[in-house]
Amino acid sequence: MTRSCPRAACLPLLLLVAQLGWIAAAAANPMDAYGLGARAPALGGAYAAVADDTAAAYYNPAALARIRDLRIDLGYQFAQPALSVSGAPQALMASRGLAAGLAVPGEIFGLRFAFGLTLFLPDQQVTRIRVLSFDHPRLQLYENRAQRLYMAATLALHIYRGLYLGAGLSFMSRSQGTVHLRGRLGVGKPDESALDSAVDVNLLAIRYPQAGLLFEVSRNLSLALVYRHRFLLELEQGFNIHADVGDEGVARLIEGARVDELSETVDLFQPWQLVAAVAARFATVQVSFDLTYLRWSEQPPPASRFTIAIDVGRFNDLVKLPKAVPFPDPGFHDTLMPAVGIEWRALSDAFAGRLALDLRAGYRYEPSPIPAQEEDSTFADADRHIVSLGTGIEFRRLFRALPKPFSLDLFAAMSHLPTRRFRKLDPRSLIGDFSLSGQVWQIGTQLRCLF
Amino acid sequence: MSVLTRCLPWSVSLFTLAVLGCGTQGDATVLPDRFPRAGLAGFVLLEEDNPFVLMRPGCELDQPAVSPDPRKLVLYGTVRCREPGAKTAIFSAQPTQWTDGQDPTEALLPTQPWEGTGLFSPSVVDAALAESPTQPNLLLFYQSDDGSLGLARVVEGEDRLEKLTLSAPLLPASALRPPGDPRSVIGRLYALRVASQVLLFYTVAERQIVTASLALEPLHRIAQGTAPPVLSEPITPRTLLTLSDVTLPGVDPKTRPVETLTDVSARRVITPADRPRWDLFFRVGAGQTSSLLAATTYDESPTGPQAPLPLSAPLIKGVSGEPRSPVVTTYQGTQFLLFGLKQVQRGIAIAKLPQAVTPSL
Repeated sequence: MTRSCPRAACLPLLLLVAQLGWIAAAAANPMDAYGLGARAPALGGAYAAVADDTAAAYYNPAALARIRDLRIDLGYQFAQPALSVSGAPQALMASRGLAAGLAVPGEIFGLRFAFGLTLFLPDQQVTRIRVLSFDHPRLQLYENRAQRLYMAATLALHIYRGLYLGAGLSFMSRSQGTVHLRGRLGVGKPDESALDSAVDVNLLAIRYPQAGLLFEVSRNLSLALVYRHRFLLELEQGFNIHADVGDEGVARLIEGARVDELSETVDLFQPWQLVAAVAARFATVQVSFDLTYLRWSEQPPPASRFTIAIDVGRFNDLVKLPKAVPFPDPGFHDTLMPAVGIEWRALSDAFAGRLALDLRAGYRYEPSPIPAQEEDSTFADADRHIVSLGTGIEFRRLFRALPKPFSLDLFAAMSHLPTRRFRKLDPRSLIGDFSLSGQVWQIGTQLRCLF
Repeated sequence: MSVLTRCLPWSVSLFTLAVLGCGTQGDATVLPDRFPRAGLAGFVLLEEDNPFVLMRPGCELDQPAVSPDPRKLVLYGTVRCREPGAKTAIFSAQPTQWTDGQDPTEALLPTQPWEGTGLFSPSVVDAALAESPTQPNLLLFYQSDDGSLGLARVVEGEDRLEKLTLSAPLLPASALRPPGDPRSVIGRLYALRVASQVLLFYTVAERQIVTASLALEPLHRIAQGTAPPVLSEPITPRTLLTLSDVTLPGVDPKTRPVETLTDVSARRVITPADRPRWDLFFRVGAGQTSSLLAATTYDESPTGPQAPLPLSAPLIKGVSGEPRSPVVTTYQGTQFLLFGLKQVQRGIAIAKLPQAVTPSL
């Protein structure tokens, strides 16, 4: 029986490598909404000064250099918003998917480093694009934001004693596409139009950096500073018709008519963030605190801008295109998000030193960046109070294939959104006053292995 | 511990297969829009091909009204059959299907001399002094053919109407006319209970919407049979909207101004942001064109709305036929627009907001 263990234990590794290879060209985004892994969300996301696994790629890239062995983390997480607007339950997608990470440590010229790859692969949408008109009501932070793939490559260095520095790049893909039609456009007999079509679509890579600093003041005290850059996913879709207008066999009504349309859409936005963190250990208890500043005021209007140009020769005077009206600034405001986590090593050497048990709890307060919605826009959101619980079981020397410790982490979290009421200035608003309240339920598990 | 040691590798493998399997499914579901709307425009028929909740072959149904009793959906309205000498009566119905074209029952017929050839404009209020959802004291207001106001009682448990105003109206049409306007025609009147008063909304000469208030307490005494069914206190009508305030949707008012303003109903809602909003629903017309519209205002005043602002978008559009007499009600959290719709004949049509879920009856 024990001989079968090595083969079985290798299976996850092989599957993980296969999965990583399969999605290598895909995109990225931080897990602002629901966290990453199972230990970090259990600690309320207060993890920048605590991280010691592949979730460090998001929470603090510098902490990756703490890892001294090859590490593979693999887990699954699930979050389901249950929000109501004016008492009506809203149809919102769950955010769920595979969380995986790989960290490879090394040493060059006495300098310790670690390279990491971290992935969150949602199992519903790799990226969700849903573009609504500016005045269409929406739950801005619970739609596209939670439905995208995250992939980050990180390098971290142990610079000096307790000082670590790390930086990484997250990747995303933006699409740019145009449909071209060329030929002749029939007027009296439109069915006999002769148009050649061509589609030109590019998935362009975009990257945004994140960097972190970690300072272990002593064995029991760590300080951290993390910066995550802003990220904007814009989509461009064009439609060009270049054609002569007229029926076959008769003089052309218009030679070389053109219609060029371009829509530019801001699909996703992540504000730049600055995190200051501290973690302290008191015997078997570790307490961590993160304070995150989020620059939400740079949020652009989440809607499409259309530009259209028409050249129909001698008929140009008949074409009256309304002027494009710029969307107003959505007026999001910057936020400060505190998070606190506590971890207690309840068992450290059970079963002859083969098992340890950690119990975790966390709290995070996420103020809403969305202002009062008195005019045309209707973005519904409320502050979130996130309470989390979790546990981690660390196994040591269980079998020969895994002589180093590995741990199984579990967490559950509940976000409570107290009722927020929105008033419209104009009673004629077709949306009218509304309120938002609800909960978000989260669970997750992760297996963290050292090799 | 040895059991754990043996099982763990296989558990890990199964776990990994499970999560990777989940990671390849995908989901192209388009989520429905469930964001509530104010209910001031944009209604659509429940069923385009079968729009009627109430219908009777050979008869015209119109002027729908809804009982404020939250325990059940009871509709009232007017029915007039195409027979020689037929009079307009008030019907009641408890629909069992939304678009079944159910046949209503005559509940109140013109029997008194002052009522003339028909009864019109039913609207129901709860006259219980302390508002109680379990023991309402429902009163039905109606009009005679000259606009005078009558009163009937809904007999609890029997869903039967019993006239209270027999020999004379509660208020004659002359009392409803604005001062200095003794000859104007009084149009559809709609009564609405708000706190300790009943507000009356009605049109005058198809040119203006006015409101006036009645104290609840005398009405309660009339309903209890402890006071004669006549109001002696004069009322003070106040103009809310005039022709010049409204436009036909999509029509330049300079080229085609509104010529008629009729069929008013009203509601008062407490918005999700905890403030009262008054909504008026009415019909505007110019020549052969007409449209149903709303006007609205936020107003804390207990004496009723002060200056409602009309919307430019219609309550419902794209309806084939002639819509009129709109009333908006909420049943099990869903807003419905009920209105008289004339296609081949006139019945009570029903519409809802496109995003709303239709509750079962």
